[in-house]
Amino acid sequence: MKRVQAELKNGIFNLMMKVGNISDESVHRGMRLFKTEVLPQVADL
Amino acid sequence: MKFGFFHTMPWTLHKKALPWPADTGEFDATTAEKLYRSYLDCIASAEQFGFDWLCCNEHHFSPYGLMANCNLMGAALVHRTTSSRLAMVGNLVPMLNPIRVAEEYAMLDVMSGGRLVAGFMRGVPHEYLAYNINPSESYSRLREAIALITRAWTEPHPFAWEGEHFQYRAVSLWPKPYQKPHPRILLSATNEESAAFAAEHRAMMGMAFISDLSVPKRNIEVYLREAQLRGWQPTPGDILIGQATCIAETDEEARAEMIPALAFLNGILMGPMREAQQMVIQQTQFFGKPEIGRAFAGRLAAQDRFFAVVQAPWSRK
Repeated sequence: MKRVQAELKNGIFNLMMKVGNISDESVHRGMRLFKTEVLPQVADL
Repeated sequence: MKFGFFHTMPWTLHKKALPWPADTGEFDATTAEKLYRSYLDCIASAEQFGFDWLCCNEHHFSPYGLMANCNLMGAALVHRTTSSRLAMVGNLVPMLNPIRVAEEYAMLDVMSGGRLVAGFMRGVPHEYLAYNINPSESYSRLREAIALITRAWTEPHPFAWEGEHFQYRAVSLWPKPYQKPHPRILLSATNEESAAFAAEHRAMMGMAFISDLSVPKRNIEVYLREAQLRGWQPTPGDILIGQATCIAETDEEARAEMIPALAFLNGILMGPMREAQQMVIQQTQFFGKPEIGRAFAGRLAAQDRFFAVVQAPWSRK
């Protein structure tokens, strides 16, 4: 994300997290990790 | 930085790719009812996980997604959420009744207290087969529909519309949108032509499923240059990048889940669409410039590469 944002200077990422038949458990785990681990590192980009 | 949560509401019970148009013999409404409930709960919960936008889209005649009308999903999300933007990404306006789009978007904007992001999509080629609209008219229909919708949103008095594609004796929209003069418009900008089109309409630009950064970078340059020529200056908040994303404890775990999921997406869910899309690309002027059509065909062929794994820095040694 940091690399893409540095190159494209975009202000919005749209994350498609239900991909194909990936399990709903994986999606929910990803959402939790997004909040606790990812967002704190990229919110200020 | 803002983040959107995007969920296509797929029908995931197919085991093999179907030819176009996808037969619905295996569809089961009882199962679909459970899927809708589960999917809506999931999308609504994204607000609690820090997502700023909740995104819904529209596709037809395909197990790729159960959202034939994303505005219905938007309406279902209005009172399950409080602060997130409801981004319809979006209505395929060249093949819809523009007045109906203007009305439904205005309703969503008022009902949500001004949280609508109004996506006006041209649609991918196969939609034109589904709705029996000439793909070669896609840009002119989109252009006219946007002009009509924005006027219907902002014009306080009844007016007549005699366009090339749409005619109305008297238009007087109730309700008008909550946001003034109207909700922010988002347009797809996956090639230079559409990037210039987005700038011309002072709209946000969105690109999804990028395989490398060179194409979006060039499109953004066109968007910024065209906007400057037209007297306005986009901000980073006007540029949306969409990517299939898996977040896991480790990169390896994310890849292990994402690769088969992408194979299912591209092979099973999108199989019928891709077959129809190739037909449209080859036989119509959907893309005004042949090189853009060839580039799109290349994207279809390479789609199993289009994903991002969010690296897990907390897991790195």
